[in-house]
Amino acid sequence: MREEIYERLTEVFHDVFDDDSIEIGDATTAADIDGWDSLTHISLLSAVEDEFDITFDMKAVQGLKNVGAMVDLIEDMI
Amino acid sequence: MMSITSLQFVVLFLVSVGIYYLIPGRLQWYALIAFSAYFFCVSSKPVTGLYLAASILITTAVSTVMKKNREGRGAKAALIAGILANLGILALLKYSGFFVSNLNAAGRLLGGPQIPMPSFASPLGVSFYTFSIVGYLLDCYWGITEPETNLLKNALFAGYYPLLTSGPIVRHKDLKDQLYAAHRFDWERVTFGLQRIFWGIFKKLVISARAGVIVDTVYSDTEAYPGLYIWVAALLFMVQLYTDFSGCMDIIIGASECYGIILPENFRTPFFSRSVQEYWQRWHITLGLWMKDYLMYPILRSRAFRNMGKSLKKSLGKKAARQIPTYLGMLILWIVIGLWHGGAWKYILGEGMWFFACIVLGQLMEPVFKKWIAALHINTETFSWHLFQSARVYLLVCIGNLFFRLNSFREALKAMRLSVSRFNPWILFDGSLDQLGLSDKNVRVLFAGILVLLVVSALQEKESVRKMIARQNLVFRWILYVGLIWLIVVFGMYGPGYDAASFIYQQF
Amino acid sequence: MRKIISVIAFLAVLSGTMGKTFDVLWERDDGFSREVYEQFYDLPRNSVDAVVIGPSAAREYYFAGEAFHHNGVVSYNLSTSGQPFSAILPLIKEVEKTQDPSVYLIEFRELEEDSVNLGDVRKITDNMKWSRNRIDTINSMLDQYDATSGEAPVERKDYYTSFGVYHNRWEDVNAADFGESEQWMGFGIYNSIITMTPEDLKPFDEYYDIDPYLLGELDRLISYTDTLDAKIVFVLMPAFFHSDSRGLLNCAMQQLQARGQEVLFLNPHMGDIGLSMDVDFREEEHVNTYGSIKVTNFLADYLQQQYGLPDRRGGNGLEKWTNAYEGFRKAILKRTSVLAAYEELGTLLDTCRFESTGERTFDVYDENGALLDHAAFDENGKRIEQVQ
Repeated sequence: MREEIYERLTEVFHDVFDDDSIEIGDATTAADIDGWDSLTHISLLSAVEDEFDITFDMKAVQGLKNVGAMVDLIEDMI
Repeated sequence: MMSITSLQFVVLFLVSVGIYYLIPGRLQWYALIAFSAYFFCVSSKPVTGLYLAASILITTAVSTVMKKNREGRGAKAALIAGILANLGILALLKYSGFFVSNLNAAGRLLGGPQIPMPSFASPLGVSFYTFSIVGYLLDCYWGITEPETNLLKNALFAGYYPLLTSGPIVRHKDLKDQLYAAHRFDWERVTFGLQRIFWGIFKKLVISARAGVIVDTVYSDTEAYPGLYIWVAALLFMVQLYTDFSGCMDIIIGASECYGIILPENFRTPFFSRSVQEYWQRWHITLGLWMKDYLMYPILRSRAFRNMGKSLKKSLGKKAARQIPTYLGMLILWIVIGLWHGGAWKYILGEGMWFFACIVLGQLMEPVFKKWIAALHINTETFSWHLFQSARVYLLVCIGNLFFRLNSFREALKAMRLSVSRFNPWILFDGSLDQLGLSDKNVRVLFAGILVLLVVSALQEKESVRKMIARQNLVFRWILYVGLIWLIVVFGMYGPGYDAASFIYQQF
Repeated sequence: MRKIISVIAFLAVLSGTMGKTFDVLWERDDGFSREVYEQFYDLPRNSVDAVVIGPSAAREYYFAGEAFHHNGVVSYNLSTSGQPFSAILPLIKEVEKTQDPSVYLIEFRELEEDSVNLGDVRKITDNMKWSRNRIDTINSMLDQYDATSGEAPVERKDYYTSFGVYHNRWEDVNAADFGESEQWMGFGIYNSIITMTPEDLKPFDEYYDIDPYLLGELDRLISYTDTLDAKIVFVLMPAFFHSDSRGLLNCAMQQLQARGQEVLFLNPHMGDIGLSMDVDFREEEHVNTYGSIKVTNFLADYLQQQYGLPDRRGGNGLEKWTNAYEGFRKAILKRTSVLAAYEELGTLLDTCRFESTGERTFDVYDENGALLDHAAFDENGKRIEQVQ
């Protein structure tokens, strides 16, 4: 389940950041990816929501510390 | 008006710390309310406290409603009521003048009547605590924090005196556990807090006040001081503003640290930033974060914007679909940031739009810059490149802050025009700088102070300087501590003959 | 426990450092005001029999070291230039804290001057020890200032604590601030000479009313001094006053006499004092050092004869006075070529007689009337070679 999510998520990252070489893991944070700032973060979240057909609430949005947390959240929501 | 760099404040503060640790832990937050009330009354017209009280009452009432109706429509209605009431008070106090002056300008064009300018005395810190409250209400609605129904607890959250001078804008979630808890005396925490207070006083009295003299002289008569004088003033103004504002933060965060309450940072060596965008993540951090979490994100995630994105994707492609809504959101953001700084067009157009333009252009030009860097074989990991980027950021920020410092948009433009009207580099070498209100010795002290600041800032990038010093031997440590206080007492700009630096951000 | 000790130790180091710093930064003016007060506070308790209080007219006219050397009168001169009249009352109170003189000699020239120079206020208050009386002294003088200056009332907090004023002196600190202070109880050397004539000495015919504020101060002062055991003498040191001053001081004298006060007007006594109009004045209203020695000796004799002040020469604990005298003597011999010349002849200053033969030129006779020398001086009192 998680692996599947990671596959789809990686595609989203490649798309949003225009970089097919990005690799993500549980510990990946904004600091690790070039161009992931507070503005692209929002685009990223929207793209993730579109991909998995979910809606993050504001609490979740503020609380995401790393990709692993995001994946956990996606897992809970689908 | 009690200045937080005055001996009076330091003495009263030390007394408050003594009282704080002598009373039982569960009474400590009540003592903080008492201290805050006292601080408010000697810093502001006490009657303006009614506005603060109104905010506190409304917020508590709204919180009570929200606690009862968790997710329902009652909660949403209460939220909107609470936000409108608090922002309404702020708008009335701070922006009614702006509103009326624009109405009158329109009225003059259309031949309509002129409305008298309203003028309201504001409570201390209204721009800051209002935003903290609005953030709190939204956090309650979004489930990020629990609504607080205790009136006194809300009173302390809003009126906690270290926050009243110039912020920071705080998050309820981060503060509530500390604010009302009992705190035991911790030697290291209290001494670190005191050290930070004196560091802040040093920045304000030794550096900021001195820089301010030159800035005031040049800007009081830009026609008499054209060309490089204006560059000097603009560059020094950022020194003045930074040491004033961050010095204030050092004092109040240090003071709060002594009480055991850790407040969020507002500055992280902003001039080491590599881009204007990064700068705004390191300058007035809590304002930027507030704008991001409570304005930007809700806007960008609103249905209107998402639909806009979707339709743009169809017509203009993926990249535009992402960029245009973002930039539109940023535009709104920067108008609001401009407006937050003051009800005057110069803030909105000058500061707001200038930085908006810097950031957007920076982003749009990024691919072009990348090409140039590759073509020139520039190594972007070097210190020299970082230096260049910092200098670029500093220059852009100085220009934007011309609008902040000068009295009107027109004056700022005039200053910019005058700054290139004469080429007079000799003023840097022939002692002209010693004629701007500071004697030559004072100019030297100013630059020495800036140097000390640079060294400390560079060290701070690695680790807390206080911790570094604490590891050293006693004699060296005491030389530094006594030395810092000595520098403040001897070289501080206070006493008759010097204008005590007025707090630039305190009018907010 | 260790923390409390380290806090106390730290505060001790901090206050010691700041104390030394302000010692250097504190103002030292040409009138030695700081020395006047430092050495006053250094005196042994209840050691003085007479205290002189007044402005430069008192300070430059009376040297306690000389008086002691002359006839053993133990006194102190608590005078600083420009001392406002309203300072006298609180200063007497300050003296009464640690001393018990039988006579106060109050120079009342400042009764003609209603305005107050703020710098002169600081000469006194910045050198007084912290006490309730210091605050009263500040208020007394600043009340006079506010009442008479016609300016907005002055901010007082920078007088109560002067750190805010003096820390700014870091820019002007020089070698003198680190040096030893002079130990002659604040007395200074002024050896310029101008020549006056008997026609310049006018009688006090005019009468101008002195400022009512000052009359009020005078009444306050007298109400207080009436409660003291000490005798109060109001003295007007000899000088060539202008018409306005003469009128005002005439009024002052009459007001004092009307209030039953003892008044000592010294202009008619210039001859008894032995003052030479040729060489004893540095300007119309102040004697120079040569003249001050003569005035001191006259007043010391007066105090001893009229008020029975004892001759304490040879007594214990009075080294400060002998040291002051000796230090002053050495200094003046170094500085004044006239005296240096006569030291070789073993002739003392107070036994020479100068007779004017022209502008600043004199024939000098010893005590037996023998002609010693022809002497010529420039305006600074320095001897110049005279072409015969």
